[in-house]
Amino acid sequence: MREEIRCACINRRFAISIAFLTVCLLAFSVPSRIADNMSGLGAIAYYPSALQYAISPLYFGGFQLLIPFCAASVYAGSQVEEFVTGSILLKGIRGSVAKYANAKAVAVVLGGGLSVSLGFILHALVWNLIALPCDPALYEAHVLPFEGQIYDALYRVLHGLPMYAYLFLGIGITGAVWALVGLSISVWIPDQLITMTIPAAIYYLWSYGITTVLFGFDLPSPSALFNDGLTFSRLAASLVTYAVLAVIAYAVYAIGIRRRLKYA
Amino acid sequence: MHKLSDRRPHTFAAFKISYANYSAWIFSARTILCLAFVMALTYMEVSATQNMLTQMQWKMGALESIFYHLDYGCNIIMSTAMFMIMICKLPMDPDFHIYLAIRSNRRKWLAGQLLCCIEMALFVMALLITLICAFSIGSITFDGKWSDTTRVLDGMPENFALISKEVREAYSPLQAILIAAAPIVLFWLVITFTILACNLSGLPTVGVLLCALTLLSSIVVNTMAFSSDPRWLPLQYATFKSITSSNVPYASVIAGYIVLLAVLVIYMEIVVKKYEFTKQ
Repeated sequence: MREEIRCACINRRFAISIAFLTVCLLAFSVPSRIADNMSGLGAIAYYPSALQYAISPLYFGGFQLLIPFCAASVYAGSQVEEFVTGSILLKGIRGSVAKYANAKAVAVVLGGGLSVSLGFILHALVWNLIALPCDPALYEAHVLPFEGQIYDALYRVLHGLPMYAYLFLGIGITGAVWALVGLSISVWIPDQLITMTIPAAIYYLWSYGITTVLFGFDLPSPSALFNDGLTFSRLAASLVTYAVLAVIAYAVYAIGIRRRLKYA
Repeated sequence: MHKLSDRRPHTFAAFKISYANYSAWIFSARTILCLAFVMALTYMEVSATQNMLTQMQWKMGALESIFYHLDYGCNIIMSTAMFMIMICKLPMDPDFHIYLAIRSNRRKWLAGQLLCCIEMALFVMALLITLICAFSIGSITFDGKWSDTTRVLDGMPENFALISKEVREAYSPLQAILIAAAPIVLFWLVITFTILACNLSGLPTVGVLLCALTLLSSIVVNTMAFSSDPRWLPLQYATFKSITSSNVPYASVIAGYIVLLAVLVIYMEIVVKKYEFTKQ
């Protein structure tokens, strides 16, 4: 398992995924800063805080759609490579099917989750170097409309550090589950591009309410774990939904890999 | 590099090559899966319109409904993304394309690939139109008139109209569909030709990346920060609605697409002479 995790977290795709997400986040936040500069806000105290610049792409940009894509692109595709090269059989011989499936799933989950979270953290670091760190007690411009939300207690202390930590976790869990979805797809349709894009397509249809249109029931938004308007009930509903999705994805993967290893 | 035969190939060799490629493409798992997603996306778009029509107790003509959705591209970003995934393996199936090339010549082989690209773009557009029609069957009438014109004559304010007065006055619904479909198909063709050109040049990743960035730029870049719609985003020229709102003449956009496609074809004519056919 350690070897799999090392391969998932120390590879070119992991680094590309982090860099790509950071650039995409900056593509949203930098024009905001330029627009603020041009609108003549005056002294730096009247500018939004580093936290505001760091989180605005999460709420308004296309970043949400990139999370499943980038998370799945880190290591889920390695399963396809193992099918193509035949190395899956050599790995399967050396241990049990369950051991192989668990090691691969853990590596994919860690690689996918960490890459998207680190992308966000890197972006937040950049803004903390450029803009004023969040201090709503000192600057009125830093006060955010989070009344009644979990974020309200988090962003007011330690320059918003607890909020960054929570978002790191929320984005990480989201990325991890979508990476697992990518892995479960890879075992049934061994195609690198499909492995990366189908999670993003499912995410998109889900966020646009396909369950409401087709089956008449609402699911919590797939971005609920890190998006605006997070309450405790919403957080619980979202965690349960993601847990169910993760279990289904793992089961689909385990069945697929067992079939592949048994019948080659 | 394989020396290809100098004999005169069959007149319809290009069509045969395009047909072979097209059948390999249409029956691949990737294409079928992506088409299923295009279907789901179209259903989401059309059902939103249907809900609105039901609430207003309005009906639309079948052709009018098609134009209404094609006008803004019927979720152009996601449809194009799915289309790009379907076609990113161009030229199709290296397993047998070497034999196709041997039995014709490089020029015919390239013509076959280009024809296949056109067939693919037209097929997806035809599918989109069919799906729009099929999913909106509950709220459409089968007459060839603008329903907005009738409603305006019945006293509805013009600003409530679903389709602008300029379009209704200038074109019939059928003409409007053709005008709305043209930039989308041409945009898809530019994507396919770019990917094919890059793949023929031995740079497969560059083509896909270039097209992916073209698409991503419109969802990732903060367009709200700009005072007006940024003209440099390629998607601004992919739908009839965005073209008309950008104040760039429609004819010059179409001409621009044709020039771009011609440049890509000329480039491919050059690089195909050095393209190495390998059997995988």
